[in-house]
Amino acid sequence: MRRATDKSVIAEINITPLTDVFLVLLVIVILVAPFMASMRKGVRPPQVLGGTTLDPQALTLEIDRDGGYFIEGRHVPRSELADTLSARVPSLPEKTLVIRGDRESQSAATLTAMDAARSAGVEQVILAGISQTEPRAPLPARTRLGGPRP
Amino acid sequence: MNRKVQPLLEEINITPLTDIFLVLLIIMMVVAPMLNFRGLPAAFNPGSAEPGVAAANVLLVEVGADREFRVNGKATESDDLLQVLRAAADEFAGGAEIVVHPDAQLAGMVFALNAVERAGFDHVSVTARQGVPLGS
Repeated sequence: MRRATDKSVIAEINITPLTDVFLVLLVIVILVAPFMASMRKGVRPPQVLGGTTLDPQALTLEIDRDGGYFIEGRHVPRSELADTLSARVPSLPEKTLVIRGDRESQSAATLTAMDAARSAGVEQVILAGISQTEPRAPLPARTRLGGPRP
Repeated sequence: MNRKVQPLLEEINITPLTDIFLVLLIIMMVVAPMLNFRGLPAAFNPGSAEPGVAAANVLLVEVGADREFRVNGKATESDDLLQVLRAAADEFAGGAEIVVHPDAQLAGMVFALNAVERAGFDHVSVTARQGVPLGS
């Protein structure tokens, strides 16, 4: 008769940690995917100091280096920009447009978009930039390393 | 003959937890720089402006094609722009108007807008330089 305390060896790989990791990855991908879809590769926004926090739900217009317009990853010809915005703006809870342009794009493309946004009923245009940290003020001479002692 | 009885392992296995947190850490490190966006509110003035001419009590900041800045007609280095604007902020109660040459890069326009905002101007508008029509 077999003793109750004997345990048979489980010769299977424990896939529970693997499943946990993949479930977490799946949740993160689901959460991040809408944001990444609206972020076009190759658009490098200018740097800004300070500024306001961007609403992730706001309608975002991207302008690439060559002046091409993109809304939610789809290219919008310049001739159709005003009509496209006019169709989208009425359904927005806040009439705000975020323009995320490439730092090397011509300002004319941004100004044209701002003009189209105004015509489409956008109440506020926000230019997006990458947050830059405030440059630190130089330390007083007394606290510098190697500086004269008081 | 009795087999040796193995003691029960009475500790929680934290390996899955560690795995998950390491994966989360890597993902956050990759995604964090992409989420680091800030915004500058910009009011567009549809009327194009004549170079060097501004309304009364309005400070005129011009952005040239080659990242050159002029404050009320006076050429100003980009390093000095914020200081010049701060000094003029109290003098111009009507706010500031940024006149942008359409060939100027967006970085120059945003730099001027950022400097005007940080200098403490309440009313700021952006307009295109006269004589250069915007595309439609």
